[in-house]
Amino acid sequence: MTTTDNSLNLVIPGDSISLENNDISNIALGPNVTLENDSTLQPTTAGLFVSSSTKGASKNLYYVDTASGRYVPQVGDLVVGTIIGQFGEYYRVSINEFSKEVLLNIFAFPNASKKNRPRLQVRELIYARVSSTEKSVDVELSCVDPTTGKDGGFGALSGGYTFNVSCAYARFLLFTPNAPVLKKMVEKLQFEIAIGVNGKVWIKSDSSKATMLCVYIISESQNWKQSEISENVDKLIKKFKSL
Amino acid sequence: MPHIDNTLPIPNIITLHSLLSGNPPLRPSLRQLTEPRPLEISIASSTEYGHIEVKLGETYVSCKVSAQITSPYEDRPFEGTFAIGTEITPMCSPAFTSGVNADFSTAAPAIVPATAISVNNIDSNKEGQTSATAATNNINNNNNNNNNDNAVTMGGGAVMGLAADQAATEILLSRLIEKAVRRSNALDLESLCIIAGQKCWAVRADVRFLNYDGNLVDAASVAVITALLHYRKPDVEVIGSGEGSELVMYDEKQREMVPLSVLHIPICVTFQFFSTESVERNIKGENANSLVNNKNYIKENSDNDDDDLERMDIDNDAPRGSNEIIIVDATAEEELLSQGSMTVTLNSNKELCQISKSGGLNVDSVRILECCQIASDIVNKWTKEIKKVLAADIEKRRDLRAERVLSVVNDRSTE
Repeated sequence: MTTTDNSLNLVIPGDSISLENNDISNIALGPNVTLENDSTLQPTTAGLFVSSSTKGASKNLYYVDTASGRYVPQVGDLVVGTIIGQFGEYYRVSINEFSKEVLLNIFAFPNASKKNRPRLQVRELIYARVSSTEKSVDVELSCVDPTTGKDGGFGALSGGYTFNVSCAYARFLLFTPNAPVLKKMVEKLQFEIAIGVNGKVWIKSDSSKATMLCVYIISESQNWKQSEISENVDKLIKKFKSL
Repeated sequence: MPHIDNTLPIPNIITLHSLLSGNPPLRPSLRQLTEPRPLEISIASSTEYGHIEVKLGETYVSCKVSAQITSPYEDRPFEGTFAIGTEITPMCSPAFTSGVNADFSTAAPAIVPATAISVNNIDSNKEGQTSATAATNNINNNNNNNNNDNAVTMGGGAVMGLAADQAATEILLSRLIEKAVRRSNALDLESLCIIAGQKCWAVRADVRFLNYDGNLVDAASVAVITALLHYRKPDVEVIGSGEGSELVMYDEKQREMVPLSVLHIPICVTFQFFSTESVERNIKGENANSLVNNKNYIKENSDNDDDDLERMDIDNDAPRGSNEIIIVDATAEEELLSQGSMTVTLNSNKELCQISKSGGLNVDSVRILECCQIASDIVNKWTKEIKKVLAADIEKRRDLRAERVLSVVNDRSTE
């Protein structure tokens, strides 16, 4: 199988993917692939094989993107979570229903001090970054942008509505520049959005009715073909206006 | 997967509430208030009888009917037995745990005291956004002042689903189904008698919940009754009489299997109630005092019963049901928010088998009658669906060759 940059191919376990470029010192492996020998890769799960080399980066990245699976926190991931409690210097945050909760230090906010820090309430929503994932240790979140030390859009999300999509779809929405659905929605609607790679999307529009429309479009769009998007969005807006 | 653990975030609660109390009231799925999700009934096995799977939106229930020969209860020698097993396992949602020692941390208590949410600022005429912001501000105020525990959230009296704890959910659910199907005499137990006082059929319907997205009761009731209608038990015959009598059971090839005698088709329709008014109740403040006063009052006047009743009535701080929103076939998320539920069981002849409303919002009797009317329409629709599926299955199972052979054997035409 030959691979080109940013190409997508369906692979299943047992396939062997031969690399064009035989220099294995120059590759980085992402999730769900293992190195079989010097020039072939083996997928460990069914999914889309992605190989990408960004300009300027020295290494080629290879991974298999799969639609199934639960979210497993990785450092740097942007997540939407719900505060479910507080103890000592930490908030307990749920980023995945029925999974172990993660921690958010009460000082992990820009310029937070003992007196001046955001007081979050149980059940409040936050947008945060995964700051540490060590084996056998609780996962920790942070609401500080590590490059600037400022808030970088992190923090409590007030108003709006949060709902779940598949992790793969959340990644798609977050990492695809001009994701077709969002591009179409921006033309017609006004909204704020926060996408967590944990499969949670928060959206807020100017009224709860409009928010629900956005929620509806995004959760429905998971099952649409690319060509249908424009038509379906228009249809839903029309249906919605008649309500 | 919707938010189905009890950590429904505040923004969701507020948005959903303002949607429901808006004008016109809307549901998150944009479904009509009295419109159930699409019902999908399928026959799970093409060879066996009585194995049905029912999908109501994302809620997925399977029911398998089986029968065996036992001796009847001593006090009811002319009747067979019928039992329904409804066990909720983690298979349908991780929110449910198996075993008696359910993990109550995942199942919220009936009244969720977790946060202070006041929704009294929401005005149905205003835009949702302004009210949502106002409510959020209010929350922050409450939080700063009183450490969260001064008010009760919405989701007060929901009894079904996760808003109640699992043990309660399970008991309520099995009782509802029992009442709907078994105690409404849907299955004619006397027809299950083989030899009075000695042998009878014991019919069992085992319900398995495969996925939970609200409204397990309605889906389960449809599954049980469809499975009963579909089930065929082997034909039996008693040869001889008295001491030396013998019971012969014929298998499918020897004799046509016999359907159970189902007298009517009761179907449950569950309604959830929401109040558009504020549901905030101040525990720490006024009401707590008034409760104390009330108690004193009762003590003082314990000899005057009428007065007590009056006073109790005034101080009854349950949400008033003046402008409640009623929805059918709630999803898991809607169940979490609901302030009360009611299950109505009807058959297509508009015979009411049960109304079950355990606690929750007060609802006007007129609205209850309206509910029954709505339920009747839904029941008619679902009964048609059940009959359609069963008829299609009978058609599918017809053994044309055997029928032709039999028709030749029995052909009495003189040509």
